[in-house]
Amino acid sequence: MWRGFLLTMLLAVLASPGTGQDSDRREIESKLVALEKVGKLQAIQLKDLKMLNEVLDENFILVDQDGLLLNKAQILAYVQRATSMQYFASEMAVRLHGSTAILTDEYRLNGILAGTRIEQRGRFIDTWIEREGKCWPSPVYR
Amino acid sequence: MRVICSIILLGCSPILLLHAQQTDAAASGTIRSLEREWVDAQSRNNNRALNLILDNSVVYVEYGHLVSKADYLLRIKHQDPSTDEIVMEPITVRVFGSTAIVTGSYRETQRKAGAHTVTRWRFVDTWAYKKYGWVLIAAGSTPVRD
Repeated sequence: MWRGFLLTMLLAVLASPGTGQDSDRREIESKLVALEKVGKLQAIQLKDLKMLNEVLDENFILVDQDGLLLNKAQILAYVQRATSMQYFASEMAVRLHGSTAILTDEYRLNGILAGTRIEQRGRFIDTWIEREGKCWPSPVYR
Repeated sequence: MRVICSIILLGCSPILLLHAQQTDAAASGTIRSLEREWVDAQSRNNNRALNLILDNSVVYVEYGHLVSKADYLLRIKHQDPSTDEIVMEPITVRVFGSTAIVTGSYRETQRKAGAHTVTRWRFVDTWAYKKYGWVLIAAGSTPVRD
């Protein structure tokens, strides 16, 4: 319940028209970082498929470590199949381009999938688009 | 009067929809051209063209490293074009108003010391429509493992 409320609040801030001032810009950037951490990374960690389904746009795509293109349904299935997933993110940076934001980050992912230990380290770029509060993240890069 | 307005709006909506579709189609065409221009400019060390294609704050990921526009242009400036060849494969462009996402793949042939290696890459590029047209704001690619 609280996650739904938090998500609604974050989306409301993102949807509000910016005035172009630095403080507004910083506020949007920090809210986007929060949305990325809670709405995406934490949701993956907690296997919160409902939250992921809310945050990710129907057109969501991701390029995985092997260069395969995955759609939203495939990502949700992947998260559901995982026994455990721990995401460690650092150095998040946001660049705003009007109603679009580019978020970059370094990450480390530890988990267990189908009895196999996963260890990944890399960098990702997410594209967030202000469109009915949904995002359009792009790929995970090594 | 309200009925008339509704009829006019209903009558206009297919036209508006058609206009929006044409706009998206036009944007998609422009971005496809820009993708080709980017590859062409890179293969010819044409930094002037690259400077126009890439936004100043572009986020570019190369081999897992964040590369600034200045660093990328510097690398291209000193790159021997005969050692690197890129062949594009079909791409998909999705337009969301003033933002477009391009997904696709390409084959890169690198020649070094008489030998050559071929790598297939999957990429996702993000373009934004700004004051003077579409510019690349984020790009990156991942090698495809067979």
